[in-house]
Amino acid sequence: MDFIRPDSGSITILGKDARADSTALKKLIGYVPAEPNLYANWTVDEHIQFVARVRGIDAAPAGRLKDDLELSGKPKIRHLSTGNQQKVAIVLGLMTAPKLLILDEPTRGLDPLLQAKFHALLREYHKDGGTVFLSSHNLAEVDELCTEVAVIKEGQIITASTLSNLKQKSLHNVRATFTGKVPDLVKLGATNLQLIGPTAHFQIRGDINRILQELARRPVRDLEITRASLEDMFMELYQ
Amino acid sequence: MMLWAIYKQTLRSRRMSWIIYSAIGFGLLLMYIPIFPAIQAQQATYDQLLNSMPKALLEAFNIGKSAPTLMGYMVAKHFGFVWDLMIILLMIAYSGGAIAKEIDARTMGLLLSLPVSRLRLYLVRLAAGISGLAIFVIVSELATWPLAKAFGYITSLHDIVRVGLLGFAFGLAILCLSLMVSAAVSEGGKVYAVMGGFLLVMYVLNIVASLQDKAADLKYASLFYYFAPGTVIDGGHLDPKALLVYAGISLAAAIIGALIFVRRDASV
Repeated sequence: MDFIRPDSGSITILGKDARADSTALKKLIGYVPAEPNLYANWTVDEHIQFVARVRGIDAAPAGRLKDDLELSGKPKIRHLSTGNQQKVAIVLGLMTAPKLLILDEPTRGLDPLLQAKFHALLREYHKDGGTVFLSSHNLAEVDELCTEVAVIKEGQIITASTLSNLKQKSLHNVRATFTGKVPDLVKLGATNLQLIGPTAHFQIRGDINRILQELARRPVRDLEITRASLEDMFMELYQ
Repeated sequence: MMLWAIYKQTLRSRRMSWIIYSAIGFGLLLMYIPIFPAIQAQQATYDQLLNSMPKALLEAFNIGKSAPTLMGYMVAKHFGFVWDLMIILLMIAYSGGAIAKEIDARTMGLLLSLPVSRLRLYLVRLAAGISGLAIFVIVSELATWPLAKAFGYITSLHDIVRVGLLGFAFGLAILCLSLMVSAAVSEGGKVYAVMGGFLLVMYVLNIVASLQDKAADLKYASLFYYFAPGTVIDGGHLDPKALLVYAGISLAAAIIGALIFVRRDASV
């Protein structure tokens, strides 16, 4: 959004330089910040009218969004809860029918019902050809909404991939309970191993056939293998 | 259209302070002007008082020796001290809120997410400040003319316009300087603190230069030296040097402020 000037490098969005063509780009971008940046003494409708006038667009689409999110136009921002303020920010970001929608923790402060409504709005927007760029610590939300992900650690992208690819790189959570001595699972490629009595909890990256074959040779009483969640993968990338 | 919307939004969001300051300015005119005949009647006492004061002190506090006229009286009572203080407070309060306070309150994020360049946003804020200053000068100073007419006093329109123009130029310099500071910091309070300190130094320089012959040249470094409505009334003309100094300061501060705002990070 060109709020912070880069020390080096460049960003290209929709074929335009994010710094040099910042003003032209913002005509194509809708933005929803993590914390609503609204004027406390303005009403919801005053915000909508202002953004519509500055962008030179019709404010009518905001009416439908307000209805979808059950938001009244009359109250002043200072009288709204954080969740309702976030709804206003969502309306302002989406009302412009942008080509790209940049969302920074957009559902923070929304209750689960409204989160679901917002997710439905995003799916509809995406179906109509829009692109969503979502920055979030809510990995369940990322898992539900995103097709491509990038994980950033200390300012560097440490992995970038489609979500399905990332999942197919296969990190599996394994819980195995042995009737006899627990074998050396680390040798078999286990990571994050935790032993609780005869039960071993660990993770396996990559093909699971090898561990299955090894475990089949040992006295296993109980076995559970699940695909790791995005959160598990995130944690592994961060460690 | 888009700039007009931001201009209107800026004026609207500060309208209470414009209205309150202008109303107070007008109220002070209404308070001072009707009692002018009583002051005129005590001219001898007034002259005696002025003659007992050092010339340098009179200059330092913008007190001219032209009390017999309405404008001379108004400059001595109001336009030479309280009025310029009001201009200072109004301009600094506006500037602090126009950029720094908006960054602090995160509302700048809403503006920066819109398709408006930072330069234009800065210029719109400056234009709104100039408009507010013009309204204040008209209501609190130029209104002297119709009020004088209403009370049946004879006064020089030229004098009123000259003092108004000087006040406007002074206010413009304060506006541009404080907006420049506002562009550089991220809290409204810092603008008030920096400008307060700066103007205090300016004021002290002017006083010291007036009272100490050895330090006389320091007066040229003070913004207040050029704001001399008493001299305007006594001399019957407005020194173009004062307007040039204020215009130069305004232009330089506006350019530097715009550059700072365009280049800075705005963490919102």
